[in-house]
Amino acid sequence: MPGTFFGINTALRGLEAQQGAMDVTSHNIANASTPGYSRQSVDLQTTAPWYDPSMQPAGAGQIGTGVTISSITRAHDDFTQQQIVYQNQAQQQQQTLSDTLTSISQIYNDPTAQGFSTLLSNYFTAWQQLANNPSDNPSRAVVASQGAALAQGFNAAAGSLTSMQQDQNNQVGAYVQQVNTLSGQIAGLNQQIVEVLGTGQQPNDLEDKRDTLLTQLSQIANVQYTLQPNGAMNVALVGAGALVQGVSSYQLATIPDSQASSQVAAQPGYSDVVFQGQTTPLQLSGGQLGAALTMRDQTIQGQINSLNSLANNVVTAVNSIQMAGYGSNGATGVPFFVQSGTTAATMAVNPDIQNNLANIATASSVDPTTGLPAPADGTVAQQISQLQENPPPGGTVTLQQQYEGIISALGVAGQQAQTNVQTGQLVLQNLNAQESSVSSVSLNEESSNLIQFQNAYQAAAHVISIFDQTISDMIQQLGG
Amino acid sequence: MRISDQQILALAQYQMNADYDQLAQAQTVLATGRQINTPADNPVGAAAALELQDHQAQTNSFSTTASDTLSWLQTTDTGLSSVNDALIQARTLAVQGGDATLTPDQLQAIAANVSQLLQTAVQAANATYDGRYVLSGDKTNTPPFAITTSGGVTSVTYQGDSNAIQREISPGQMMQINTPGSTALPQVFAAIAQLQNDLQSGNTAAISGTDLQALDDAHDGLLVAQAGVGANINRIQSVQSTIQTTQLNLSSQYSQLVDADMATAATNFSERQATYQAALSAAAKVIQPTLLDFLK
Repeated sequence: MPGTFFGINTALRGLEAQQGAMDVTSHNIANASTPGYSRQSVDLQTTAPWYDPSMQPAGAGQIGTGVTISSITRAHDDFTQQQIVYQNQAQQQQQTLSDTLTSISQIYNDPTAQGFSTLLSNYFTAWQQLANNPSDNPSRAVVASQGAALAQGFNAAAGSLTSMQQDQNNQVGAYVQQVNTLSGQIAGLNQQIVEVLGTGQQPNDLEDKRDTLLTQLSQIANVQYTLQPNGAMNVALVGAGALVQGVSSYQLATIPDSQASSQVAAQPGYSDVVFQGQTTPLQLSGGQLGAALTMRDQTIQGQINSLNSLANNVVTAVNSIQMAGYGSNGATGVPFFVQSGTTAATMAVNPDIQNNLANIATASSVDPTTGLPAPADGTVAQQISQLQENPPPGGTVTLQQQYEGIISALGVAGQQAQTNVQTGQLVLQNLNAQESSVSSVSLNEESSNLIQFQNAYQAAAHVISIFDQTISDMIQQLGG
Repeated sequence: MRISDQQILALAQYQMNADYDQLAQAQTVLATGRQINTPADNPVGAAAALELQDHQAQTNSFSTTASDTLSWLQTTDTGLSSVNDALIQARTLAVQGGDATLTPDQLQAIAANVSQLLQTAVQAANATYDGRYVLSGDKTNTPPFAITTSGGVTSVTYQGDSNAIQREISPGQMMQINTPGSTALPQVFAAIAQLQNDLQSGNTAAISGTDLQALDDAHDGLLVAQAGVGANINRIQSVQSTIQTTQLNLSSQYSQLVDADMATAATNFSERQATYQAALSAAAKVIQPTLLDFLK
């Protein structure tokens, strides 16, 4: 038979195990609202049974020796987390895209009565009115001032787009910093977790912390992770390379842009992202960092290119008709817009026109003796106003239709992005619910567990007091 | 499925936000009165709305052109009518003056009348609209006709040209709005001037013969010119009427596309408000008591 105090030891083990279980339950309850916390549960196992060592065992046989906590495990679904990491960066990309497209459409402010398209139509109807009375100075002044308003409208739109681009660029540096901080922290945690696992214990809270860092990182960049057998988490930047491998992290850096993209030549004022010590720019997309780069280089740049194309067409078409015509002072070859200003940012009315309205060409011919055109000859002005109906030379759509194309493309992209954002939110919400279902604390569960462990603890304590009584009875009886 | 406390709250928050977002959108439509506030609301509609806006601007411009052109034509018409009146009176005087029994003094008196008529007619032909001479062809800053007398012979010279002033009165359609003074009028003035000269020189045979014929021929030419102006006036008036209809149509198309139907918008808003309030009250109830409240 086992010794006298055998039962007390068994009860003691029970007491300790239940107390440990209550400690874990209390830890869960304390962290019920901690973001990223995975509930922990105790694995109770019977301890090795005692038996009488002999060649010929006799007696009842193996007697149980109680219970112990074999491990504390955390409830965690890796598969769901992989999906959440992917969805976070995709959602950030779509959200940034949607916000950017909304901002861009506010620049144009169409369709309203104060939008960009009104500037265009006002300019051309001013030419039509001038054609009716070419020698009327007030009509000339209207054309000049509408032209200036149109040029300024283009300048302002280009300025707003460029400043949006610069804003995105400024954020690139900040995101790179955040990525570096997080990857460094993950690598540090990897080291600690590997060490703890080496001693045979479960670093549950450290792993939770690492998962929180990973979630933060997934918002900023498009990363994938794999768990190594030794417990370390390797994190890779999709399409670029490893960020964290074991206990080392690879830092990112920014260098001046030296590569032309599909949209524009290299812009040294902007930053490219590289791994520290290298010079090959990384092609990133997804997450806030990838989104900033995509907005800067593709979305906003694409808009700037479209606007520049429209400005170029307006300037070229108007100037080519203008320069072939004659002003009321007989001047010819005077462009309406500054010839070198063919982008939206540089478009401007020729100062020669603004200083001398008579230079505005309205007539198609002059009297050879006087060098002046007939006062009622408004043919050239008519031709310019007809750019409202006819495509410019070499073009297939009118200038207004080109602008409408810009707006409707913007609208389609914006609508698409909004839909994607809403869908993404729904998917993310479902994934988070799934993860929460596995990992989050349910107070009902914890409190019913608490009752269970409390009762078991009380019972074990009671057992000890009964054994105590029994033994003291025995001592009394036998001792006299 | 295991439900955790965080899950329920997260779901409640998500629903509240989604409903609030919908409510905000309905409110925007109601506040602005427009269905299309940004291109993303309706990309194809936005482009169509811009097209309509542009057409409206063009049509308004054509409307201004049409009324300006109408006034120009009416000025021309008045001028030609006055010239016609003078011509008719001159013919009467020509019939009078063709009598060989008149004395030279009487002939001089009639000549003086005719001279007066000529001046009146030339002044009428030099009519202006908005500071521009309507009968000078292209040279609208030059008076079309001037009377000169040299060596006792009166003649009228035409100082304008015969170029047309073309205007676009509707998309792609040009119209010549002017009648150059070189049409019909030089004949008229030549006939009257010749009458005056012949009266002054007492050539009654010419007066009752070639002068009378010339006056009649000139009259025919003038009537043709007047008819042309009249036709143009009719054409412009019909263009104006078309423009008015077009303006109404464009306005109503634009409104259908862009403006919100206030009844529908208000109903939408109320509906979403009710949904949002339901979500709020459900969220309040979802923060249930836990088991702990019941354990003593």
